Amino acid sequence: MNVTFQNNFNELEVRLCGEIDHHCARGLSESIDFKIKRHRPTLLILDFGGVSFMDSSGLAIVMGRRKLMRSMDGSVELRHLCGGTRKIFDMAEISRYVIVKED
Amino acid sequence: MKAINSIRVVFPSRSANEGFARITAAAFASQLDPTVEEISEIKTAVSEAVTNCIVHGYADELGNITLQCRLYEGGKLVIVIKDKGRGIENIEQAMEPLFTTGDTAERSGMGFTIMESFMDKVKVTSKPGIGTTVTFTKYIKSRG
Repeated sequence: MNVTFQNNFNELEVRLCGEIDHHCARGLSESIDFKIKRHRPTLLILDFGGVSFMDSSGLAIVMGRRKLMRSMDGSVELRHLCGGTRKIFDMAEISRYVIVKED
Repeated sequence: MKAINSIRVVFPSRSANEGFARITAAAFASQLDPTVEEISEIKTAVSEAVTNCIVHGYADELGNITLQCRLYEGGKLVIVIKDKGRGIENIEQAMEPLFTTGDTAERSGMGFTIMESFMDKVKVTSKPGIGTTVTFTKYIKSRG
């Protein structure tokens, strides 16, 4: 799992690349949380365009970051969901909890 | 019915092996010429089951996980994931969507829901103190 961050004014964009599973979940969550606490964005953008595999750990990561962003009156947006990642997010009806930007 | 082909792999319950397990199952399934979508479904279901062995079965210890893949006539693929960990007290409850054991780690509670949605059949047998076995059946349609 490779992750890059871009900070634009009130937005923090996180580009995820590679495989998301339980093995990398904790480290990934911690690195995103570190950036959130440092930049205090109002919108956290999680870009799944480069994700080649994801299991339910990805859901837990999104819901955990939503909780943190809400505690700071911010929101979360998901981008570039496709194939397997989209199926899992749809199953969990993720759009009830976060913004899903359609391509 | 006798299996046409089968493999059996035993590995320790380290989270680094989640990737190994799902790739192994996907590689075995590839002889059936599955679609990219079917491969993705197999990888996801195996990843969920192996993660359960690591997180729940062997919560505070390191133990062995056995992955078996068997191929039968008619494109029938059977995948068995077995641990000798602490077992599940209430299987019905564990399989409910959004159910988590409420430990401090972030979990979605969607593992079994995903397995059931991606596989044609999911069977769970478990005995507290003895271990848990999850059996998937998936039919890969011939595209010939």
